[in-house]
Amino acid sequence: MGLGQSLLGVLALGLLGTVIMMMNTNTLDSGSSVETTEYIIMGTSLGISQLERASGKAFDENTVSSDIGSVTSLTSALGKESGETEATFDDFDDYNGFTKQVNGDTVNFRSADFLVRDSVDYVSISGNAVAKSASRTYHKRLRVWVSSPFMRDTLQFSSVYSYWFFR
Amino acid sequence: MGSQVIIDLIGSMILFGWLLLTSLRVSTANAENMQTYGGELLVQENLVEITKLLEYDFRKIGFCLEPNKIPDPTKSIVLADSTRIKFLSDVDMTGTGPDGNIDSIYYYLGPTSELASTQNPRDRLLYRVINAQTAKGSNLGVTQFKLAYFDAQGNTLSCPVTGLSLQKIQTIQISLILENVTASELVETAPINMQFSSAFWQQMRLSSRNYRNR
Repeated sequence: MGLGQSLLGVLALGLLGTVIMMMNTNTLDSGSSVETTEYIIMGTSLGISQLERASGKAFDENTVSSDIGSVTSLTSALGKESGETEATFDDFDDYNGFTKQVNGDTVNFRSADFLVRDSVDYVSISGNAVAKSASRTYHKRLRVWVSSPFMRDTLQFSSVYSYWFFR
Repeated sequence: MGSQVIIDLIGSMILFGWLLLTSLRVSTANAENMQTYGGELLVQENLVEITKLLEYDFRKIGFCLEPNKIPDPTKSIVLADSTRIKFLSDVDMTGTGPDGNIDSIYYYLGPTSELASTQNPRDRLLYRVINAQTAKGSNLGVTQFKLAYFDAQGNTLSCPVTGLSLQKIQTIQISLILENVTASELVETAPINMQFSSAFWQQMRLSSRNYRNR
C-alpha cells in the first residue's frame, strides 16, 4: 500500500469518526431534551398542585373560623404560625417562606428531585396589573418556584387569592 | 498479481468491511433512538392533551351558569372511586359557552381487553361520558388513571367514597401514566426487549373553586 492510499485510509477513518461523534452528540441532545421535557411536566404538576393546595385554605389566619370586615383585621406578618407544619397549614399565607424537597422516588415513578419554594405577599390589583403592596389588602399572591438539578430553568407559578364571603 | 497487491486487496477489504459494519451499527442505533424519542414525544403530547381536558373539567366541578340549579355545590360529586368519578357541572356542549343546564361528566377507565390488538398489553381507553351519551374514547395510551380523595384535614377517604362521605371530598389527587401503544423494538434483543415510552403526571386539585362557599 502506497503512502497516498494509507493517507486516504486514515482520512476515511477520521471522517467516519467525526460523523459518528456528531451523530452521538445529536442523539444525546435529543435524549436530554426528552428527559428535560418530562421533568418540566412533573415540575409543572408539582407547582400547580402547590397552588391548588394553598387555594383550598382560608385566606388568612383570622378568617379560618370567622369573617372580618376590615383589612386591618388581617395578619401583617405572613407565614406559618408557631407549631404549624405543611400538614396543618390552615391559611393561604402559611406557605410564605415554605420550602420542600420532593425526591424522585416519592412520586412512585422515575423522575428528578425537585426543590419547591413558596413566597406569599399582599398585592394590589389595578386592571390587569398585579403589584406588591406594602400594606394589607384583600388580595394575596402566592409564587411557587420549582427547580431541579436536572433542569436548566426554574419554573415559576403564581396565583392571586382574594378574600370574599357570602353575606 | 504480486503478493504485495494481494495484501493490499485483503487489507482494503478488511478496512472496508470494518467501516461498513461500523456505519450500519451507527445507523441502526440512530434509527432506534429516533424511534424511541418519537415515541416519547407522542406520549408527552398525548399526556398534555389529556391533562388539559382533565384540568378544565375538574376545575368546573359544581359550576353552573345558573347557580340556583346547584344550590349545594358540595353535592356535585355523585360517584367517587379509585379509577372512576362522576360529577355535576355545566358543560359547553355547543362551543358557545355553558348553557345553564346541569350536566354530568363521568370519567372511567376501560378494561385492557378492549385494546388487545395493540402491542402494549397495558393500554386502556379513558372514557369521558357527558350525560347519557354513548361512551366514546380514543386510544392515547393511558395505562393508569388513579384517583385519591382527601377531606379538609388532608385525610385520605377510602375508595369507593359513598354516601355522606362524598360531601367531605375537598381535594382530589389525579395520577396518570401514559405509554406508547407501539413498542420500540431493540434490534439486538428483539423480540424480547420491547420498550414502551412512558410519561407520568400527578396533580393535586381542589375538587372545585365552586365547591366551597368560603
